[in-house]
Amino acid sequence: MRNTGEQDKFISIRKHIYSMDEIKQLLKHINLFRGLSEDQLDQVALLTRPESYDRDAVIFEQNDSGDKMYIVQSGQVEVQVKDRAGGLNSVLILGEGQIFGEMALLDHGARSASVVALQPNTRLYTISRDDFKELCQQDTGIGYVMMRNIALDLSFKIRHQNSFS
Amino acid sequence: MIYTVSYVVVGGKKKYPSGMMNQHERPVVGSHVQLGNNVFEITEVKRMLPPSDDFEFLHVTCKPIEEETVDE
Repeated sequence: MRNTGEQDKFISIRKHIYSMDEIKQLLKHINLFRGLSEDQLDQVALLTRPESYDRDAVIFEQNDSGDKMYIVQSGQVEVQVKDRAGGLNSVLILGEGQIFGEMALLDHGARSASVVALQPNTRLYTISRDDFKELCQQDTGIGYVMMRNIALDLSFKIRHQNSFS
Repeated sequence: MIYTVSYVVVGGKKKYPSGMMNQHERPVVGSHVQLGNNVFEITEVKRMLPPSDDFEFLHVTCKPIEEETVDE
């Protein structure tokens, strides 16, 4: 039995249908997939699942278990971290082309932050950990490129953080 | 070219979260950007990393231009 918060979250998800070519064109504009060939993009596109969230909908909460990563197709999301008193602090806004939740694919740890949709009809793509792992094992070329891109993304985020700390 | 942009807000009466996004147009000083419910003016654009695979990585500093939230 899901709790009320989870029910709200699932109700807010709406499915969209895109052609594979449309998905591939979108993936080409996302850092995570740069360097992949057309054939490799075909394989990755098959793994993506579209989700859409209404404004203020919680995508996941800090300390949730995580089994998938998210890619912002359109709209913006807000990353929130709880302080010691339990209050939520907004630390980062992510827009088109950005990824979040990728740490769960790598370390199997709990979500390090909460993420909330900021705009109506915020559209995301998700890739599950199991699908990602299986693809990387089947095609180590894709695995190498995507792991490199995840590392570059984390590097960019650290540089971003360092820019004002 | 896809521009991967890191936005940092300075100044203002309240603290604003920073932002990151991909965009098709290079940000320019004096133009506006919306992060969440707030609009900011870009005051500085710097290259953060060398371009790679049709992606360019930029760091942008901006300042608040209004305290009110944007109605949608």
